[in-house]
Amino acid sequence: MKIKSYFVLFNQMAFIALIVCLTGCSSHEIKEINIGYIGPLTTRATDLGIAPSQAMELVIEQYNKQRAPNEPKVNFFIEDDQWDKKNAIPAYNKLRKEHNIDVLFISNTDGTIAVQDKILAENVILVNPLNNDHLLASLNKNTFNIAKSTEDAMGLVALRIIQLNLQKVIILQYPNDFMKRGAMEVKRILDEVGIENKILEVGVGQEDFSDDISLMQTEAYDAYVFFGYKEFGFAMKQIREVGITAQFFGATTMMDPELYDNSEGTLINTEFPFFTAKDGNYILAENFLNDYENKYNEKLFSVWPAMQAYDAMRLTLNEIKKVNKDKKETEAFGDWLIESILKMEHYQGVCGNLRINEDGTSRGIYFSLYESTGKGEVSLINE
Amino acid sequence: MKIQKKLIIAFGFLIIVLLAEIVINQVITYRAKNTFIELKENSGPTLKLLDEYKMLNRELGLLNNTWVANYDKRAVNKINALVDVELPHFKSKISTINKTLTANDSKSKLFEDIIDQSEKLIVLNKELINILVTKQDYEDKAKLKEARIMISQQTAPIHFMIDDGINRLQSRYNHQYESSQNELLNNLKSASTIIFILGIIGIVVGFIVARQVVNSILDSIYKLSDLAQKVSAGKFGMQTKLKGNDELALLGDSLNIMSHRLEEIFNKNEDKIKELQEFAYIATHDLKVPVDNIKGLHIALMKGLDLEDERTKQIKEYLEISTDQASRIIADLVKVTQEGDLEDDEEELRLENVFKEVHNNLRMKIKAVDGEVSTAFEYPTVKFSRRVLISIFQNLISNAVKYHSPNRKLKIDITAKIEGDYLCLAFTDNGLGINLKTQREKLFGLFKRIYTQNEGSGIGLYMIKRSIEKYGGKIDVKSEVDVGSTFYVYLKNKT
Repeated sequence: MKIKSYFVLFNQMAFIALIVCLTGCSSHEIKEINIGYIGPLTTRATDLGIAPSQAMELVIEQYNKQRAPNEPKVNFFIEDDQWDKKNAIPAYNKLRKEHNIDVLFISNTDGTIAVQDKILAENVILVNPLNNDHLLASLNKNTFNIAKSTEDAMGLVALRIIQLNLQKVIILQYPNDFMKRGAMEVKRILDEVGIENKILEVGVGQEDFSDDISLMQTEAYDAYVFFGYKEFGFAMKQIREVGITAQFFGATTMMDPELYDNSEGTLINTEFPFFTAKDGNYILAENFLNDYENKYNEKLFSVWPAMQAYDAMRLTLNEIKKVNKDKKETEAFGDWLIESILKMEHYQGVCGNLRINEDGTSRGIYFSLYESTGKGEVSLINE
Repeated sequence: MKIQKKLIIAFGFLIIVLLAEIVINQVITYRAKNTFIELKENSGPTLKLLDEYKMLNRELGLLNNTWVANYDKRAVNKINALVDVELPHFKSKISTINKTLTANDSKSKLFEDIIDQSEKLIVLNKELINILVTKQDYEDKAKLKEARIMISQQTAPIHFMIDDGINRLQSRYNHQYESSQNELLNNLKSASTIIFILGIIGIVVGFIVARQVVNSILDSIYKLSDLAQKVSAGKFGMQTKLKGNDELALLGDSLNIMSHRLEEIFNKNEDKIKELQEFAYIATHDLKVPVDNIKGLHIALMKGLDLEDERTKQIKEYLEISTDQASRIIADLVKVTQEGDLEDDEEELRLENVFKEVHNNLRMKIKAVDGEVSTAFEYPTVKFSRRVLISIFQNLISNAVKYHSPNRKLKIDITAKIEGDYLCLAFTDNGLGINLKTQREKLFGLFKRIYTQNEGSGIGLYMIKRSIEKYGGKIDVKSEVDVGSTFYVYLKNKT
């Protein structure tokens, strides 16, 4: 064989070796991760869906811009569940089928429960960025609740009622798990101290409360607790219209602008658990709120859903970005991510410093009691 | 010792010094690296963590005291954050550090105490928060007292114990940190000193060894050079003595042999030259007498003959030509054999004067062919042998006259200019010219004649070439048949 032939053969072999090496070396590297979000973008509780989705979009944009070459690109896909648990599974199926998502964020507690079997079967990681309660803590290992404690936050209302020495309380509750858990917590605390209380479950989309108000008027309650969404604006207005002056209390959802509009101002002076930048890491929170305002050209009324969603997504991305460095080739992405999040001991976020418990719930977000002072305005109650 | 060995030893020593430096440097660098890692990954971060833990412990203690004095929901949130997130986080960090310590390390006990006390602090704070839940609880003197007792008798001592434990750990880690820093500094200093000392040793030893090797080589080279110069100056048979048995000594032996052989060859040649010179001398003198006798006899014979007879006249003419020719050849041969060693006869000569003298001698011959000679001496003087320079002018001008072209008037141009180390004399004529392709070898040979029809012995150009070369010069020619020739005479410019 001539020298030229040897040279050509050597070059060909070297080229093949290079191709094999390049393909072999990069075969197990994860280039992209798809994350889905299911939240209320229309119909009800949109302040719990639109702002969080935009906050998460902001984190992902920041991550993709700053990521290192060996960190996977993250794609984000959003579906609207209209704050109705029956829409959770179709939305999840759509996200899986169309985008093959590996991680799902979902705001609605009922929706979280609804997709449990599916995510476990498909080894998808679920993160609830808004709620964290005893029921959610008991869900399967693929579920994480990176949010405030529902019981702790809603329980503040009960403590305030005790402090104000109010003796007869009616709790109007929207029929979903989150509000039910809040109402039950308030009831538990009030029962403990012997304050008379009653839970009244309202209908979905109910706007006329006149029948209930007549009854409540005769029962002469000292305090009215509204654990629900925008329709309770009508209830507040209708209660005040009949001359009831009792103290109003609300849930964490009271800063929904539609609720204020529906209440026609009667929301003012309502006390409710809430969370502002000052309750978290003020500097980081202010930075986030400025970035949000600059990107979307809008000021948030209810900052906590967006702040919590921002932290939940950032915490998750902090782990996802290590995938190509830490994950073994044979290990499933879902299993690796569970372990990785559970190993995380300390996260400095806009809501404060967070820790993840073994049951997948987080600690570190603490609400305070605020009162409404106008549309989109609140002030801390100086107890 | 051979040069090769000397060089190997010299370079080998330097390589050993360099290797020693590399090894020692690597060892020190390795130790420095470990010390740096200890500082960066152990002492430094632990000190920072302990400092943060100390601040956290004090913050929690202050919060406990302020919170029990006034109801403040935000303070409760802060205590919750410290108890739920920060304390477990620090506890976990400290446990991780503790796991890296050996069982008999005194720091381990301190870490374990802090971990236990922190755990108690978490439990006590949770209990405290449950005692004072509402503002009414603050108005309940029993609850307030219970909380205050709990703080003063339980949490405060724990805060103090944690603080004390951290202080003691900080003291030890500070000592460890300082020791590591000093060790790192000492390692770096040692590395620097060793590099410096070995560098100096390497340079000094290298210099000494190189000097020794170079000197031994140069000494031999100078001796060999001296021998070569002597041999080249004709002092054959000279010998040199070199010390040792290296490659240069071997070369010296070879040169000694060469010098000895050259002496033998030269002596043999000299004998032969002498023999030849004697032979030529004898031959020419022995031939001269009979030729002169022939000439005398020829004159005597002519007196008794009828010179009017055509045949006799013709014989007489032929005889005269032949005897003149034989006489001239013998005279020239005598000149050649008598040419001795170079004499110290150089003098400052004006070229124009030399030319005039020669032109005067040849005036008749030049006039006979209606020739014309011109000169242009850019450089007018030369330090040379007068006898030889006249011979050069005489031969080259008379050759030009002899071999002039019958088809044109003879023109001879003589120029002089400086070319490098030489004075170049150019004799240009428009005569018959020479076919250099075929005649160049013959041109300067003894008794070689280009044109046989003209008179001449063919010894002139041989003679002037030999004379010029003896004085360190050279001669060259450019010529074209039926156009003319230029002879270039290069004389060593000594003025």
